[in-house]
Amino acid sequence: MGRLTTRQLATKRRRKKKLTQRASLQPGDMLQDRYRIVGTLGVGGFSSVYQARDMRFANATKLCAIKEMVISAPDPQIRELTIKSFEREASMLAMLDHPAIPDVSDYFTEKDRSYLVIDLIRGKDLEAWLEEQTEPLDQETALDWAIQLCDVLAHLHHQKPQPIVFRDLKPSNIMLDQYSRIRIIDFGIAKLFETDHKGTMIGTEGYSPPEQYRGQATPAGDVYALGATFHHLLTRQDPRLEPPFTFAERPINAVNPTVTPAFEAVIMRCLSYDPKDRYENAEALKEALQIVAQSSQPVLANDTAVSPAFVGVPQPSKPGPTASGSLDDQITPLWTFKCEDEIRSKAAVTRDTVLVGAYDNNLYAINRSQGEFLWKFPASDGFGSSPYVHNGSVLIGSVDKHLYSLQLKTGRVNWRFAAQGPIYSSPVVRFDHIFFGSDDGYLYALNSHGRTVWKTNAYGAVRSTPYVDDEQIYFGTEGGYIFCLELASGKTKWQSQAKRAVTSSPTVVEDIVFVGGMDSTIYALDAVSGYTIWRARARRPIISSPAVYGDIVYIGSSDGNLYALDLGTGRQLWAYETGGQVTSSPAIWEDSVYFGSTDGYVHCISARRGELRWQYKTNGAVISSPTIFEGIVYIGSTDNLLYALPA
Amino acid sequence: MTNPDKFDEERPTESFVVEPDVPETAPLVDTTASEEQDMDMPEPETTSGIIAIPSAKREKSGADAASTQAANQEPVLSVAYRCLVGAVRRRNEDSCLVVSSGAGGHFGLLPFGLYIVADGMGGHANGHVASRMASRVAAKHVIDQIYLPLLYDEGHSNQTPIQEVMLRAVQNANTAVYTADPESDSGTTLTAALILGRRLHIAHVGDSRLYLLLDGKLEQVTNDHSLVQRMQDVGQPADDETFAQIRHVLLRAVGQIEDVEIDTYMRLLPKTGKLLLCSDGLCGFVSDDQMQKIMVQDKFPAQIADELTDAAMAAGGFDNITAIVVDFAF
Repeated sequence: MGRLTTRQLATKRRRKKKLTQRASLQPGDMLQDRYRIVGTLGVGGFSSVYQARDMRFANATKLCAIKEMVISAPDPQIRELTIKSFEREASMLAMLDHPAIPDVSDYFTEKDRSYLVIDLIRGKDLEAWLEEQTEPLDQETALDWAIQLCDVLAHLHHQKPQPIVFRDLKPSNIMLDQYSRIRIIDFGIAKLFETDHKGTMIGTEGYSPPEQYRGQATPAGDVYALGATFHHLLTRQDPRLEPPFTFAERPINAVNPTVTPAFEAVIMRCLSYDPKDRYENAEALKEALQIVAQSSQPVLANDTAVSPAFVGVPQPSKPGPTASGSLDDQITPLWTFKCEDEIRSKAAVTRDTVLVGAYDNNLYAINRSQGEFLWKFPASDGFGSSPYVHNGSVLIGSVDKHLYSLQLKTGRVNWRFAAQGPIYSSPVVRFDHIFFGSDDGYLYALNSHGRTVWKTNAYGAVRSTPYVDDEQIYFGTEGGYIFCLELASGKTKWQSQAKRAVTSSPTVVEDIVFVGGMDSTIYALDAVSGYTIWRARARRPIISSPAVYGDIVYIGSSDGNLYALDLGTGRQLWAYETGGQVTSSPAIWEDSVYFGSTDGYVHCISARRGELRWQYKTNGAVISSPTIFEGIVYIGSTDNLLYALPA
Repeated sequence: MTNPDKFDEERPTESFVVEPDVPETAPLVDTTASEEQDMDMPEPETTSGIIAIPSAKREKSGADAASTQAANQEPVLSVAYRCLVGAVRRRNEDSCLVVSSGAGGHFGLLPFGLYIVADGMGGHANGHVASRMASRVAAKHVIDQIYLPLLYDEGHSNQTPIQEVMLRAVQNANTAVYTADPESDSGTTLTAALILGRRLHIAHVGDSRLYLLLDGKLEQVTNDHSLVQRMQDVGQPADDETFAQIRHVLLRAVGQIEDVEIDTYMRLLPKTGKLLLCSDGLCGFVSDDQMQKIMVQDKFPAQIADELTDAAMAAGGFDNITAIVVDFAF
């Protein structure tokens, strides 16, 4: 079908096209036996502008500009109507008297073209000006020009019996004359000649307000176009190359720091979608601009404070430890518990007891409500993995190569299982069986008495904690593979290769396996086939394990960020930057994300936007991951303390 | 849980080690990995024990499938398409392309279906060339990168993520159309849907649409890159008259600039349902309600495709009409 897009043409192509289009009149041609064509000033789709000499003044060289418009409608009735409206508008323009509006001295129609004779203005239009510049326009000049333009527009909007609407304000229609004064050179009159048969765009130029597509031309539409023009001049971002009506997504101050919030607010109000939310006409806008010009202080003028379009501008926020001293004080631990060495693993929490392994080789059991010591169990090496509580027993793997089953109440040993290598992978229980990996390269399945039911060689140390569902087990290896085993038999169902070690523990949601890699990549794999669906890249390796909430995947990276990615596409929604590495795995509780960073803080941010809610400073790097139970965050730090913080 | 202290292997261990306090009453069972290993020489990868999965779990995972088809039945992707010139236009500038594959037996191929709709534009001459070229180029890339490796059974440990394959497919189509004639206005919409296993992957530019029929509701999955949609998004919806005038204005199209912005979508499909891919010659003239009424019927895809295109013709057939209907059951 025949049609075009609004943003298909890059500026380069526009210019190229303009040059290749031929003007219909050549130098030497005469119009009305009076105007001799001297040269071409511009060629567009429906109209051309020529420089001509008025031969009525035979002894003087009086130059003028002639705008030629092609009457393209084939229907004779429509042609006649077009010519009539052209003549009506031309006479009206001829009556206008304003220094910034070039005088119309003549108009006529010859064959299938209509012509308008106007003053020749020497200077350049603002589109040409923009192309010459490398820096965005400064606020002072912009205000000067904008006020001048408002003055002209106000003159038009005040015409009786009906206001004249310019309809087509944009940089190429604004001239900077030889005295650096603003002149407007092209009225919407040209639009009369643009037919609207299918395949043709009408006024979809990026500067036009939404209602103009409905054929509404009002003074508020000119206000929008003026806002759009200055947004372009101040940001150097061409609205014709962006989706229509998206100015609010491109804050001016972000690219042009000379622009004060007050001036930006005025421009954004001009750009409101609903005409009622804009300045009513050019005069009201001019007043607002004058207030901005007079106040050297970057304060919001009363008049400009409220604008729906402006309210929607995302405010860049820079959350971080430095910016938020007061947020630190909001949180007071309910209790802390001191171990004899660093806590790097995640705690397990039951209704009465908190269990956490420390590098002092002890597993501690702590009273949940008061933080009092209940018992400790010593292994012959540190605990790097996290305990798992099941049926009155605590399961935990140790660097001493053993997996221990202890009695929850007393810490006494039920049994222990010796692997061939240290155990960093945390045990998971499903169907009364225990699954975990070891540095000996195996993934083990034990029965509840600690006997091996099966074990599978993964050809690489397994430090990742397996994700176990009803039929499959998923985990990563230091050899750089992600495995899927059949739960019943331990047979490999599929394996997928990453570029480096996969220490992060997978999580599975909607049949997608999410896991991070030391290759700085977050993978989304199809849980059934192992096919990679998408991958997303961080700047540094990922040890943190992902958490999923709604449509968002959260994961930390040693590049210091906690990333929020779209579940379906891996697109980064936002990143929250900390002052250290995020090896801690995020936990979610009631719309907030909790995690630690080696900057020493426990961070709490909003799950949707990544905005800081609170942060709590410990006296050591927080490598441990939070466990949240009934509104309390339990997390250890390398300052040897386990903290119970209100979520 | 992952623990970063795994990387801290040089860390000195504590010198004082306390032996486990083993109570007399609790028998200490001490099993080791090595004794198991010795027993399992014939099968070095895996010991032979089997964990019995409680039958309740098994039933649950198969329950919803059983309601529509026998539990062990092969997945089915049945498809029909119509691509008509309509009642008004002289030429058909729409293109569609369908590749469906199925395989039975143990470890059969994953269900694979590739469905592409392209609606060419550019008035003068080349709309049909653009839509045809774009759909062919996109399909070729997906087949090279995903389907052929399946046939060669190459596994997928070094496979390019599916999303990147889909993006590249559309980007290739864009490059092909653009470089064929950078000066022309010709371009095309392109909506490509891939079903691989039970997952649907979509790459999309323009205002052709993909709908998913889920629980009797027809849901539009793709977003139109059109001025009409944009005006609706900013709360200034077009009235009927404006709609007629700007119906054809796209904000993005394949083949018009060097790099086109592409939307991607991915979702797990339900056990059963239907997909509809169509050009705006269908969805621009037939309401979503009416299409839903047709889609919910328990009929063959070919019958549904006929009824959909008949409805568009009845509404005037002002534009080329394309519909691909996919009925799936996993």
